[in-house]
Amino acid sequence: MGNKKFDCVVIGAGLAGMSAAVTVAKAGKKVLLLDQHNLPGGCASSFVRGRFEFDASLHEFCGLGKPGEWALPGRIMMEDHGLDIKWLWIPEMYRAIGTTRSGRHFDVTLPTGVDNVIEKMEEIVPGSREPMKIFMSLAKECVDANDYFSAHMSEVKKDGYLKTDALYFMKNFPNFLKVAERPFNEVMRNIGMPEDAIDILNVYWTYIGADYSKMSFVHQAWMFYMYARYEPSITRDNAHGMTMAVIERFRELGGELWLNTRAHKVCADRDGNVTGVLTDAGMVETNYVLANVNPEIAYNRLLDDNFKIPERELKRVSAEKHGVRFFNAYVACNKSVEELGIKDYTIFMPGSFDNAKNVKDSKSYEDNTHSVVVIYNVVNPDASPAGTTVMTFTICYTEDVWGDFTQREYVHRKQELFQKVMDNFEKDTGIVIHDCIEEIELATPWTFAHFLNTPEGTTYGYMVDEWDTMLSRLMAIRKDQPIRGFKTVGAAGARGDGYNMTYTNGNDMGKIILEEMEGK
Amino acid sequence: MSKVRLKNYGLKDIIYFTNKPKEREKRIQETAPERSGAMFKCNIKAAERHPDEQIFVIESVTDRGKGVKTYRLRKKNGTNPAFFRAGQYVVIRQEIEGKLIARPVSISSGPAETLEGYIDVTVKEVENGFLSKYIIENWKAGDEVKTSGPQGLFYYEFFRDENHVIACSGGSGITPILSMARAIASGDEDFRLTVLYGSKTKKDILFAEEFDEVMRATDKVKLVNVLSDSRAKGCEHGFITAELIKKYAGDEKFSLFASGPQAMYEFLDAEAEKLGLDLKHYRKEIFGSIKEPWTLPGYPAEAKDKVFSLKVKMCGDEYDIPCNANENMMVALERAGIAGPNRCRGGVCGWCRSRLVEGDVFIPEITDGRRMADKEYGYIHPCAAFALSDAVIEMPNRK
Repeated sequence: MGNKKFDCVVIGAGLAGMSAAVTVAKAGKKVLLLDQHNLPGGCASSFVRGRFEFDASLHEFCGLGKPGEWALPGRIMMEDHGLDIKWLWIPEMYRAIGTTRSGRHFDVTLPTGVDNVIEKMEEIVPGSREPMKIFMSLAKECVDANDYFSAHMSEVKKDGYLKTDALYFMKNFPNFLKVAERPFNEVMRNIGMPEDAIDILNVYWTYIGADYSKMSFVHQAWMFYMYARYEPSITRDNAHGMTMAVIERFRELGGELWLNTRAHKVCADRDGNVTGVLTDAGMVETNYVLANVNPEIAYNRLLDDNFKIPERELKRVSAEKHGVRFFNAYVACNKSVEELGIKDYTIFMPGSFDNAKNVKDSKSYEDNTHSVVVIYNVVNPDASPAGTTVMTFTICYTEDVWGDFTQREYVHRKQELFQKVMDNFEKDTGIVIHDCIEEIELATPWTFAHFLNTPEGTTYGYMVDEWDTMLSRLMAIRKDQPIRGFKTVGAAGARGDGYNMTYTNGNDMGKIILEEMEGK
Repeated sequence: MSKVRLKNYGLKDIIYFTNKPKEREKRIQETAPERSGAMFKCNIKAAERHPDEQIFVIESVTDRGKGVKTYRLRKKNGTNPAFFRAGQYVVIRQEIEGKLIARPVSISSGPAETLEGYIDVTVKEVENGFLSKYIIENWKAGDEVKTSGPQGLFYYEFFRDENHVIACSGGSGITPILSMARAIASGDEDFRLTVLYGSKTKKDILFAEEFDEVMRATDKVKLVNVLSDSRAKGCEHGFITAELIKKYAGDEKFSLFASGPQAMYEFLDAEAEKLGLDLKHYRKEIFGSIKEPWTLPGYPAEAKDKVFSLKVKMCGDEYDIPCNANENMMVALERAGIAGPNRCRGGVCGWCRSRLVEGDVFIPEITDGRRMADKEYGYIHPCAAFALSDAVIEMPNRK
């Protein structure tokens, strides 16, 4: 056994962990990346069933941008990190089928392109054009303000919050300051958006699980603008291919990856300085640790007793609420998209577009059948063998709805739910799949708890809430996580959930730990 | 796009914006700091269903003759074994002469029996079978046995399979089928199962009484013994042919499940083709490891019988070991006592996924269960790969 010593150890090779590892390795540091599982990626993974490979979690990557005009996450991945990923872009935002609160039934497909979306909304809900123009303008300002903010996160005030140039914001992003933190649906009403249009804009709920009467405008605005302006994207080789591209880059930078290797303890000396990580493969010496681990698990189980965790930090973590968790049905059909008559990549089938109702239903097994399906072959002909189709249906929950089921009823509950989801899909779209399913896997929060070890099987970290908005988390990015030499990264971090946010968060935290290494 | 002038928003909203972090801080300060390592319901359920390891004690041994024994296993700590899908297996992890050997073994009891605290595993001693020979000769009541959680994808899938399943089975391949039959009897599975069970003579039939018991409890299960080397009343004679399958299927749609030795699959593949079955309707239990790779198309004859040197990188350590070209690479790793994670031993589950840093390997197509990107980036499943040269691999940690 050689001397196992690294400048930095990253625990957990999820998206944020991998991103942080590349950021630190790129600065010339010797980095060890650990993962408890036998392959890297966390959620960014895939699995094989028969002749099919299913993407475990990438439905659509938001805000990547395009070559020559990468948006923030795209810039980090493709320019800063120099990843070799084969991206594909989805030429429409979404199709949504359901009934608005006014009782009108809609089956709409929103195109990409800012002007196209505005015109489409006017066509389906007359009177939407002017408010949509205002919405898009506000959303663009939010994107610009967020970019500026993200590029100026290093100066810290005495109270620990980030220092921001208030005058610059007042001059350049005045509307951002006014509406960014106001509730999304309130802003929509104030700019005169028709109620049916509000319902149709609320349909991304299935991916977010948030209450739009409370969620900050900036969230939905950023996402909606990014989808409209740059198109959503997926990768040719699914999420595992993306993971392999990051790992390949990490290796090129001299990084080491140990798999099937759990970190049991992060160890400190009596003064609370990080000294190493106790792993399945023995003790590894290091003074800097980044953990792609939920903070409460890190503080309760990972840090040894020599760490002095400030009370404010324990209070912060205790105040957080567990975020969204999912039911996923991975389905492979032995017919092509042409044979099945499928044209759309993303189809939301919420039944009702009533956001308040959907939020309520997300705490229930029986009432929650609001699903979204993505059909990979529409955009990626290589997603499965010729003449076949792979698709993923998703339902989101905001509470531990699955925790009470018994071992014996579990499989039946999964089947019962997917039967409802499939029946709704066939009824809404007229597309028939029930007679041509060749492979299927039904994953629940139990499944995610098993593979990710996150609390309650959550995949989205902590709920971005009315009191705990993304912007206020970002303002406190250097006040939260006060332990020198130890930081957590991931969906429970400042930027919240999603491929784009977690990858960006890994890069943010990697830079912060590099500053600590340099004695700042 | 020029900036819009907002009517209903003004200075008070900017103040609202700047106060947001203070509002957050207030909420944080008002919260009681908790430190508890308590597990959540969902995580407890997931851990029960997918344990990394189960430690059992052998309660009893039933000798079924012909080198077949059934072992009844109860958890050492008194908890129930993990619930499973009928047809799944556990991986036995047995230390032999200081080396950890792992092999999948089918569960012959039904899933409902886990709620009574036990599972049955049935082992047949196979020729040159290192672990099966050890188990048959050594395991006795009272011994401690370690296994994985339930694994494998050979089970009835409601959304894929037809309601009538015809299971073709040979020899000890009957064990997962018996588990399915028991699951139907206990109500845990709901489909009609016709078992075409191939044996040489009536004396070679396993689990006759157990199937009788199931058939007394449910009329959804039907057993047909197919004898190749003798004739007997109430039994079919010959092999499990397309014609025989058709006889029991009638005119309605059915799914064909196959569980048996490699030779049986080769025979059945041709019969399935005659029946016009597509992949949706024809499911096979995993192969296990391929034997005699040199008989397969594309194998370079000069590699046969060679012993190559294999460098294994694992968590910062390196090991140099011999690697016999005639055996899959996992066997070499086991012989050296440094086997990393592995489960199915048939290239499918991906637990042994390793990076091929240098060297050439032969990967039989029928057991190549790798991900697309893994093929591109040079990863292999050592349990389904055969060395063709000296090689260097990087493998996940062994525990």
